[in-house]
Amino acid sequence: MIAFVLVFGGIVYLSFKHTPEATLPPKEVGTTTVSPDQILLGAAAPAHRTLLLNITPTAVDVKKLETLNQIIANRNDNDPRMDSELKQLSPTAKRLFRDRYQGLKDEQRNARSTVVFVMGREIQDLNDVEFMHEVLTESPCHSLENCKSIAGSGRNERESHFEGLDETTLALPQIHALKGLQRVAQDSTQAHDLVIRARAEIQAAKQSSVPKVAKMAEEIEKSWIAQ
Amino acid sequence: MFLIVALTSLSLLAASNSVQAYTFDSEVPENLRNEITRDMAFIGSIQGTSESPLHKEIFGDVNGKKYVAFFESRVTAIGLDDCGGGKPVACVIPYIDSSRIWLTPNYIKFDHPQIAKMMVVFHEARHTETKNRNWPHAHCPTPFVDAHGNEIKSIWTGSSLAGEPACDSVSRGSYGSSTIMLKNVSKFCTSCNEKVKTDAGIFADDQMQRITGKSAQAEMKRDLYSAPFELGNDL
Repeated sequence: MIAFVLVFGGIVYLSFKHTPEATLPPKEVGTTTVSPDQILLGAAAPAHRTLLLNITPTAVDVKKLETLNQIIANRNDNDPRMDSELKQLSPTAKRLFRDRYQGLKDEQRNARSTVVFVMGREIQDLNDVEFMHEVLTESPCHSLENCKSIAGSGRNERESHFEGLDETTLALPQIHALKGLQRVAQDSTQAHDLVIRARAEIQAAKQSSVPKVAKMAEEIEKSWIAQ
Repeated sequence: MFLIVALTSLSLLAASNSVQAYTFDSEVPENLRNEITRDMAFIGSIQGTSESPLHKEIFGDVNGKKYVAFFESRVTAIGLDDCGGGKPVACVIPYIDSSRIWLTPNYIKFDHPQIAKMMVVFHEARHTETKNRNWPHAHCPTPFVDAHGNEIKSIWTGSSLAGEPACDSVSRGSYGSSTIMLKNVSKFCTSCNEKVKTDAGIFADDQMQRITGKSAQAEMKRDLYSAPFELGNDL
């Protein structure tokens, strides 16, 4: 019996262990070295997630998810509920939104960017930064038709005409992730560890394989250095 | 009797004003008609507090009715075409019909933000102006670099866009006018939510890269990227 509890507890612990992050070397942020422990927020992140999984969403949380789903389905980007209702998200609502994001097809670039935009306005703890990290480190989407397809054949003159449009839409979720992180990185009222982590993510994004994301991260870093 | 005729005429006039001035070719499927009609309705709903001088010159106020009037004074019909195949969402083919915009199925298939699709549509609407030789594009310079000196390359082929007919040497052409429109929406729209305004700024900043004439760049920077606009990216 005792052995069973120990084994079960070990399985639960291992299922939430942040293995990739735990192997990260310290990140240099200006003259401050950020240890992996700071990035992980110690043991709080796994425990926090465990707690979230045990919390039933409130009616308010569910209503916000329904609103998000309607906005995405209607393709009406200027829905005023984006600002009037999709704010002040609870941790449980954020979990619902993150799950919704994962449920969207990779090719739904605007829909995905909508979720990231909404979440990017509400970065309040390292879990929120973690979501932005996940978005920034996704595999690049190569084509609006099929993210996994490396485009190159059948390109016609008109494609160079609007390549900027396509390039921007393809990177739009990542762009909104950077903008959300930037708000935190340049907000002196935010908690110090949150600012440090946001800046670390932006700096890491300078190495993105998506040129537009890398360039934007560089520009954002220059803007806070210039301040 | 005269009163009845007058009232009937007035009601028909009111009805015609509520219907768009452009027509759809029969080949345009219903879902595409509905999509662009909804997108134009969004544009028509825009209200703003101010505008930049270049915006004033080209469109007037940041105002939905002005935008719709701009579009409807140039575009008489919307048709369906593949625009050469591949990734375009819309085009104008002047030698066929200068006042017709062609939409491709990508207009619905590709998940672009609404404001970005409208940027394309208004870009193409500018190309319908025969009095301005349809605002032809300039060939992008060699080398074609961004503000940081990095070469601008095709995301599809990896090759440089230098020499491609995909730039504007002037500020008032298709790239310039749509950039001006979106940057003004990003800053002055009061009926737009935060995502729309942010997206408008993002896409405007991207299109600004296609303005390659030095005096046009300077003019647009003064117009769009000085107070009350922010310098560079919409940060």
